[in-house]
Amino acid sequence: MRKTCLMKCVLFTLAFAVAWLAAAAAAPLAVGDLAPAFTLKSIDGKIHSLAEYKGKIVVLEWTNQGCPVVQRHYRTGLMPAAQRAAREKGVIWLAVNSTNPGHSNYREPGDLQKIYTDWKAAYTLQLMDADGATGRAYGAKTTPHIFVIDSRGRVAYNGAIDNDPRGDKADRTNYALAAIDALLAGEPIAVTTTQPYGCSVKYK
Amino acid sequence: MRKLQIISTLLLFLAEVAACFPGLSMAGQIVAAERPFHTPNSENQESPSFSPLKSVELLVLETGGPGPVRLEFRIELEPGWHLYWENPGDAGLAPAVRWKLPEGFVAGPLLHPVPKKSVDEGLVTYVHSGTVLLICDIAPSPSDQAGRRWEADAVLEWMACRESCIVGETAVRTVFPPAAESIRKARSLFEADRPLFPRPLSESGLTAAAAEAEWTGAAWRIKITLAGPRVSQADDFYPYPLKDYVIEHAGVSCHNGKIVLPVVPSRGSGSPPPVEVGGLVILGGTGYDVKVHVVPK
Repeated sequence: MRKTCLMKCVLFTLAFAVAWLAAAAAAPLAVGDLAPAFTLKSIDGKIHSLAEYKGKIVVLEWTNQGCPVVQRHYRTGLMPAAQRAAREKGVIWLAVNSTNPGHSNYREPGDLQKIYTDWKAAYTLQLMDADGATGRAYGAKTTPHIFVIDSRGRVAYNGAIDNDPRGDKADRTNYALAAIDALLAGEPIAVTTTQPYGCSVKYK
Repeated sequence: MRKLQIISTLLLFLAEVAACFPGLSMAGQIVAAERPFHTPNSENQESPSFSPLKSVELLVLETGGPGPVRLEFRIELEPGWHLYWENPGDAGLAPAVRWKLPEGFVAGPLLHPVPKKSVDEGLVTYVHSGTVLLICDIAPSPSDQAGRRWEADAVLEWMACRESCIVGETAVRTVFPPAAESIRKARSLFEADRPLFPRPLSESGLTAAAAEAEWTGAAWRIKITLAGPRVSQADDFYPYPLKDYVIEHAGVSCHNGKIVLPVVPSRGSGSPPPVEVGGLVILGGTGYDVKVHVVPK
C-alpha cells in the first residue's frame, strides 16, 4: 500500500512538471519574451533565419495575398509606405506567409513575387512558412499581424498594424512605426499589445 | 482543450494521492429596404459580382414617439458564410453602419443576436450565419414632428468569411412613416427571432458579484463569480470587446459559476485592470448579458 502511494506521489510530481512545462509552452507570446528562432525560405528561394539579424530591430508582418484586409493595406500604399519608413531607419521588415498549400489563398513563391511587386511592397523579404510552425510559435492570428522585435531579440510589440481596422480614419496611428521610433529613441513604447484585425491565418 | 485535459488528469491523480492520506481531504477543495446594392471588394476565388450576402433589408420595428425608432437589418447569408459578432474574437471584423439621417437624429450601436463560438486551429471567433438580424435604435431630433416624411440611409460595412474572406458594403434605405402592413410583418418576423437576442442576467436566475483581477506577470486574470440555482449549467462566456486590452480568447472559460477572462493591457504591464468587463453568459443555449466592475486583488 505504502509503495503504491509513493509511486503515485512520484507519478503525480512528474505529471505536474510535464503539465507545467506544457502550459508554459502553450502560453501566448508576451511582450518582453524572447522572439522564437526560425529558419525559413524566402520567395526568392534563399534560406534565412532570424539569427542573421541579431542586433537589429526586426518587424514580422504576417501576410496573405488573398485576404481583403491585406489587399487594402497594400493597394492603398499604407503597408509599402510603412515598410519604406521602417527600412530607412535600418529596420529589417520580414513578411511571413503561413498560408497552407491546400488553401485557395495559397500562391507559389513566383506568383507572390509578382503580386507583391505589383503592389510595390518594400519589405526586406517575404518568407514562406507553409507548415505554419513559425506562425504558431509566435501566435500569429490574423493577416496582417505585426510583431516588432527589439535589438536584443525580444518581442517589443504584438498586434495590429494600426488603429484603423476599416481604413476610414484620416488620422491613424501606425503601431509598428510608433514602436520602432520609441525603440530607436530609447524610450518606452506607449502601446505594446493590440488586438490584430483581418482574416485568420490559413494554417494547415 | 488540451489544457483542460491536463488539468482533469492532474485532478484525478491528486484525488488518488489524497486517497492515500485519509487525513488529508484536499481533493474536494481544489479550486482551481429596399433595393440594396452590394460592393464586395475582394478578388477571391468567387466571381467579382458574388456577394455572400444574398439579401439585406432594413425594416422598421418601432416608429418612435415616444421612444426611439427601432430598425432591423435582416441579412440572408449564402450557406457556409458567416459575419462577425460585435467582438469578432481572434480574427475578423464586426459589421458597422454609416448612417445618413436627418439633422439631429442619432443612431445607437448595433445590437447583435447571440453568436456561435467557433474554435479553429486554436483561434476563437464569434460568428453569425444563416439569417442574421442586427438591431439599431435611432433617437429622433427633439424637434422632430411625428408623422413627417424622412429617410434613413444606411451603408452596412461587412466582412464575411467561409474558407476565405470578402469585405464589402451594402446600401439600404427605409422611408418614414412606413406602411402599417410592413411594420406588422416586420414585428411578426422579429417576434419569432427574439429568443436569438441576449436577455438580462436576472432572467437566468443567476447573479454576478464584482470581478476580481489578479496580475499574472503578462496579463490580468479576471475572475467573475456567478451564483444561483442553475450555476452549474452556465457553460461558456463570450466577452464584449474591451477597449485598451486584448482578450486572450483561448483562455476564456466558464465552469461551475467561475468565469475566467485573461486580458493583456495595451499599454504594458504597469497598467491597471479594466474598470468594468462584460459579456454573455451562455446557459442552455441562451446568452445572458452580464456587466461587472473589476476590483484588483
